[in-house]
Amino acid sequence: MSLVRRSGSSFSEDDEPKPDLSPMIDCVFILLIFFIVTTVFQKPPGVEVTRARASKGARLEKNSILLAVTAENKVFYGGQEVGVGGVQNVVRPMLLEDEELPVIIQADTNAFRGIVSDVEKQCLLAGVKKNKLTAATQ
Amino acid sequence: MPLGKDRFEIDDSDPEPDLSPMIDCVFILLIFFIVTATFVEEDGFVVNRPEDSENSAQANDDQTLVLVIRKDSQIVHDGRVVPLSAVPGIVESQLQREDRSPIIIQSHPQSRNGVTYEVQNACLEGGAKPTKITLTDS
Repeated sequence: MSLVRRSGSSFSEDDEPKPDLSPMIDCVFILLIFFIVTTVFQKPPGVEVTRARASKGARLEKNSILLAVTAENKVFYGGQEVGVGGVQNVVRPMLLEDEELPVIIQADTNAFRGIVSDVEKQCLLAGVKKNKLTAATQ
Repeated sequence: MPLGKDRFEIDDSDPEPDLSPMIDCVFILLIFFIVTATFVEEDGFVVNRPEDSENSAQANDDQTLVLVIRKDSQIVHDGRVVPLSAVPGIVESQLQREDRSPIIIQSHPQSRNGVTYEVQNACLEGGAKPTKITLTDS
């Protein structure tokens, strides 16, 4: 049988018959599509902050605008310092695509409350929905 | 056997394309998406801010529980400095008297931001509804 096969086939060089790869390709494709769909190209704020401890924190939405306020009261977005005044410029264009987009503020526990409060106000002024403004805790 | 040979010759008249480069390519894509998939999981809570500054006038209301965070990050309730551990009890007893009472956390702009979140968490521990807690500035 293998002899017949070898004489008939132009591409198989080896004696063993090639395994059918189609199920594996199907499987890989499914994995690929799963990862494409679940990948959120979310810009991390680029700084690490010490969050406040909270036992009652709920899981926040995954696809969100992430802003960080460091202990030095600097506001970061996507690895760059934007300042309190730059928050609206960051948030507004993103809300044009999806006005229900949530905002997560990662504020350092040692930041001034006033600065975090200003960031929250700027987010609301930029048009973030009231119940979509969230604060990250530990 | 001549029959078998015939069958193979018919199969090979339309030669199967070599799938290996495509599989390689799909694997590279797959690995790329696995690596870049950031499963950001944030815990936290919704930040409620008053519609405008007028709303803080209702703080005089007897049914409203006001927790003030001073500049030195001390928590003041009813004119007395209270420890964080006492806040859930205060909230609980207030809710027993009036189960719909709103809670206002009034923070000094120079207080530590973490204290505000910890107080908010303590209020939730005391059984307050998340939507009833409002954060304001003093």
